[in-house]
Amino acid sequence: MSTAVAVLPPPRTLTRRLVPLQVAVGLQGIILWVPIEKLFMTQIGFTAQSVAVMAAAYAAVVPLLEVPSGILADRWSRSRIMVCASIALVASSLLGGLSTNVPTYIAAAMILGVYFALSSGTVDSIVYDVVLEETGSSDQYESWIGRIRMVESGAFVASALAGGVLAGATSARLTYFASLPFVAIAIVAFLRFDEPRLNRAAEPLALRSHIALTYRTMIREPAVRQVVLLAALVGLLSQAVFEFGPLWLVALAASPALFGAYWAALVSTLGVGGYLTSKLNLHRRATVSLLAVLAPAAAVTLTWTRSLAAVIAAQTVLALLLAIFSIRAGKLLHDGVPSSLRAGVSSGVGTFSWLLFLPFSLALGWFSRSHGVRPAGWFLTAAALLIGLLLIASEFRRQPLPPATRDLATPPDEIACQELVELVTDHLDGALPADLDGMVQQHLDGCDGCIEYVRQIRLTIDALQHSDLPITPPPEAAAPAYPHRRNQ
Amino acid sequence: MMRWLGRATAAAALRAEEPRNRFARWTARWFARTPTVAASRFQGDGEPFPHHWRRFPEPWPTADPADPDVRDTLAAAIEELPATWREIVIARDALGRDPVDVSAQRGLSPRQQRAILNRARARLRERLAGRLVGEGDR
Repeated sequence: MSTAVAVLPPPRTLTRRLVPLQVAVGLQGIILWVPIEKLFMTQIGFTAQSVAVMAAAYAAVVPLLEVPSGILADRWSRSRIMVCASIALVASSLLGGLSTNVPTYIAAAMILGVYFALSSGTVDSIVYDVVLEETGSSDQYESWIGRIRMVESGAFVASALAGGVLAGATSARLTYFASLPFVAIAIVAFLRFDEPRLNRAAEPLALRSHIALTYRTMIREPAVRQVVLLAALVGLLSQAVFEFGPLWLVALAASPALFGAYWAALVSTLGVGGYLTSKLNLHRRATVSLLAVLAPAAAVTLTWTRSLAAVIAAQTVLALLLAIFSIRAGKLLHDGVPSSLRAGVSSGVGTFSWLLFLPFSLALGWFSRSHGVRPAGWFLTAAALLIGLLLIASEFRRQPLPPATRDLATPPDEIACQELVELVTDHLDGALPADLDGMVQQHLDGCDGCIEYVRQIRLTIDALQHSDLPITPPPEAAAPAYPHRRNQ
Repeated sequence: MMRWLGRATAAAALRAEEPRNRFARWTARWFARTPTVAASRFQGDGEPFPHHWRRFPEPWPTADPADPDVRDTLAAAIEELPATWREIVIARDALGRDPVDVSAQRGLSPRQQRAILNRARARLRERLAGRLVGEGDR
């Protein structure tokens, strides 16, 4: 609204309430086997081709799992969903650690898909609702989810390094079992978490028309179509780097500890990419063009170099660029699609990305079987080249991108009913600035719907005041006394 | 059935939104603001009066606090509120405490305290409307 938003310390209950969640997310991020997974897989008989089959099977199953887990999260306790996700993680690590052949390990990877499908977005929606419950608005959501993502990526980096060292000192297999205690403690932390009562239930959609509209939005508008393709390809290539990248290290016989350092660099790009995106001026065509050229250059390095350092540097640069592009593509999509369709379009992009990845992965695996891993870098280069071209194209045609409809139509001199209902308490408390209060009053002079709404709010307050409700007053005396009062 | 499917799809779409690979999430999920009153009660962008009531709230006959029906509905609705919302709406509206004290005690800014109160009141109104005139907000 028009009043300035002062930067305030978060309420005590919010900070306190989110502690177990942060602990749980951090512990869940400690998966020691992830950095040396491909090393271990090679030990039990995987080839580049069977790795590709596993990745493709995973890509085929995950979108299917999203739907039931979405329904579950909507209807059931979300901390318990996270507990179930942790149990799937335990099962996957256990089965993976016990695997001695390809099919068993692929089964373990599928179970990891259950973990990801269940945990996907669950923490985000929990954080959103807790922030809404404790502050009355979602303004602080971004900063809290950012903090939780920091904890998570810290855990990723630390566990990558630790996993590499552990595998080097003992065996790759042991890292699977060593991850279990952390997940077990995470389960306890999730169970101790005070779950929000609000459930950010999505408003029901008129299914057929909504899907049709979303689909049309994605397909019809050339500018949107281009960004959709860009975002899907960025997702595809990132998945490919994380899935196949370690094979370069396997081919060059890297030590387990080096796998750890390499993986730590790779996962840290997710956070660093976010930071760089906020620092780089991506409106400048020169900057965008440079980054767009750098991506295929990094990918092509993988096709010829035999140096471990160059492989690791090239992959890290590529992953970093992809992290930046992903955020950029998300922003372009956000700007180009009306808010009511954004969730649908983004999810369409996600599914499209998995669908593209499936044949890509199989083709890459088939190719590297006959030609070796290094030439398979041409697949990554081709994808990176396409991404670069799309990125440059979308920057150079930024103007024609259709403007998204505004979230709330706000002509400067009047407010709509939907805005008025947000301001009722501020108005009744006399806390609005004079000009805004005048607009509320003016609206109330002419709108029967809002007159009735405000009357009913007053009746509700009256009923609260005069009924002998069986309520216990909040423990006024128990709360710590505040030495100073904040001015209203 | 279609309605249920619609909810399920909406929920699933929200979750699949997150860009990620097999091991790591990329960015945080973006959420639309949660309105105080369900957005479906207002007209959309394509309609004649965007963001104005689709149907005016049905006038209430009375809301007599002595009526056991009103009292029970209210008590049940309060019980369902998140703890912080419940404490604030009770302190402010049932006990008539001073807004400054209420904010300070919970470590909230006055603005946050009012935002919570506004949402809590809207919830209670919605429940009463459901009871008194059968208004189906959701």
